[in-house]
This record gives sequence, C-alpha cells and structure tokens, in this order.
Amino acid sequence: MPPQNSGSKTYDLSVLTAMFVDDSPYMRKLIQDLLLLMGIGKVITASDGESALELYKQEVPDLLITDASMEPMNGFEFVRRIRMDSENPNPFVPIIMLSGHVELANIERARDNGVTEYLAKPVSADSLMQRVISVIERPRQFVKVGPYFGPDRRRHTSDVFFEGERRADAAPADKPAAGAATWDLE
Amino acid sequence: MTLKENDKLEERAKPASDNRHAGKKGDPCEFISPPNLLLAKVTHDPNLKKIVNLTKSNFKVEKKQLVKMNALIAESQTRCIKAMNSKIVQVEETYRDLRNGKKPPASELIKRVQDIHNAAKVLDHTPVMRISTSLLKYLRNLSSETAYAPDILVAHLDALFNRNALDLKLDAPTKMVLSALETLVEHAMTTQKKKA
Repeated sequence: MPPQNSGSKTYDLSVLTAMFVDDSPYMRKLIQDLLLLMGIGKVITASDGESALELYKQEVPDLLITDASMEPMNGFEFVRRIRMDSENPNPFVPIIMLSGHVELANIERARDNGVTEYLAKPVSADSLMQRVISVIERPRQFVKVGPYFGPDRRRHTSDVFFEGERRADAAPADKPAAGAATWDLE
Repeated sequence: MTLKENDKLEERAKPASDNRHAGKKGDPCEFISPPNLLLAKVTHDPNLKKIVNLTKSNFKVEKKQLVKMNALIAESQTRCIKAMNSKIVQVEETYRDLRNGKKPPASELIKRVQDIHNAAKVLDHTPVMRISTSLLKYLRNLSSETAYAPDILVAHLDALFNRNALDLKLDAPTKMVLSALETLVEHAMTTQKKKA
C-alpha cells in the first residue's frame, strides 16, 4: 500500500491510532482535530487517567498524548500505571506529556514516571508534529532499574549524529572531550 | 593519574546514597531496545523494525498542512476566549447573590467554574487555571451544598473578574494573589477537617 498521508511523502500516518487524555473537552477536540489533520488514521480520547487506562487496554493505541493535571487520576500516575501494569499489552508505547507546567520539577517528575517526550503548552502545529515524528524516528531505549521501568532517562542531544557525522568528529583529537578523565603520566 | 584524580574516580564508582529517583545508581540495570514498530508501520516496511535511531529525518512537512493546523489552533483559541468570557459573565449572578447574603448551591457554581477551567486550559491562561483549580478544590470538598464560607468564593470570583490585571507569566503581584487564594482554601479545608 503506498503512503497516503498528505503531510509526509514517506510516512503513512493513517495506519496509526493515537490516544489523547485531557479533562478539558475543548482541548480534546483541538488535539484530536490536529492529529487527524496530521494524517493520523484514528484518534481516541479520554477525560481522565482512570477511564484512559480502560480504553487503552481495549484499543491498544500506537501513541499516547496526555495532559499532566487531571482528576481523579493525574497524568503522572496514568503514565506510571501504563509502564508498570503487567497486564498492559504494550508497556513500550511512546508517551508525550502535554503540560503548561514547564518547571524543572514537573519535567523531572514526568521523566521519572516514564514519559517519552514533554511538550509545553501553548501547543503549536510545528511542535506537535515534531514530537510525533520524533517518537517514530528516534524511539528511546528502555531501561529497567530498581522499581523504574521506562525510557532511558539519560539523554544527551550531543549523542545524536546525523548523516555524514561521526562520533570521532565531535571532539578534536588534540583536545579531550568535556568530562573525559585526564591522565598524568609523570 | 594523580592521587586526587584517583580518589575522584573511586568516589564516582560508589553507589549513590540518595534515592531521589526510582532506581539508585549502582542498581543492576537492564537495557531493552524494543523493535521500532511505529516506523515499520508507517513505512509499510517490516525490515525497518530493526532501525533504532534514524540518522536523517525522512519526514517532509507540507507548509499547507502546517498553515491549516495553525488556523485550527487560532480558531479554537478564539472560541475558547469567547467561552471563557461568557462563562465568567454567567457567574456574576452567583457573585451578586453571595454579596446580598444569599447562599446558592455549590453544584451550580462547580459546573460553571469547570467550564471556565476547561477553556482556560486551551488558552494556557495560568492565572485563571489556578483560580479555578483552587475554587473547584474547595467546592468539591464541602460537606454539603451550602457549607461554604461566602468570602472565599467572593475572593476567587473577584480575582476571575479582574483576570486582565493578572500577568500570564506570573509576575510577583500575580503570584501573591494566586498564592493567597490557594492558602485561603488550604486553611479553610484544614479547619473544616478539624471540625469534622
């Protein structure tokens, strides 16, 4: 089947099912419409973490986008349950957290609960598209350490190399890379 | 290597004592690279399951599509500004009743404030969101429909009516107003619990 998505010459996003969780009906409508405009085939929505968990098990979406502050179950708890629930059909599902709270503590909390990407409000078409494409093209390695299971929390943008670039080119040979141990050979 | 550097390296090798995050340094760590099912799906090429990290994006954004999406966002924001303003006008009636010593049932106000909160979320209007969250928290924890202190409601509604004076980026006076409202609710709820 050839790609059908009008927004991408190479990707057929119409085969994907996305799920958006937010307690605001206005927000649900907006994000649902935006994802459909992007070319995603099916977008399901839920108004809180509790109902989203049920719906998630039935539909098993390819991608999850969730708000952080919801009642009764907030976005952080929802993400934690998705990652930790042994009955979950896909604990590796990419999760994008959409939130207006961009304080470091909130971002760390999202990361420590297993969020893949964090998207700050107000949402723009470009930023939403970039995050969705990022989880397709650059999925995160998962890690299980102690009670934590989720995307590897250590991420260095300097580790991403594009075509034609090599790791060796990143630091000149005569100059040690930042953080590298220096040896005293006296 | 000098002794000082050697000590540093040994110190790094020790497991960290703090447990700030789930999973401490030094815990056994299992790395899992799940197959890239999404990439395989959107390209209809099962071989791409093995691709862990694309070095160059294959995604071409169509400007027309971005324009359409941005228009949708702008349209939604206009709709939400209208909705938020009209809902705030609707609570004026409750405000007047409270000022006149009447006590309208909390459930009416909860519905309206929830609507205001929903619209504010799309607009990312932090002051309105914090005022509505604080008010909803108070109203939802009442023991009965009219077991509220009218002054607390009036203070929150006053802040909602004067929302244009509040800074979206939360300058110091705005933070002070919002913190005062939140503290008021916390205090009222604690007192209520103690009485119960």
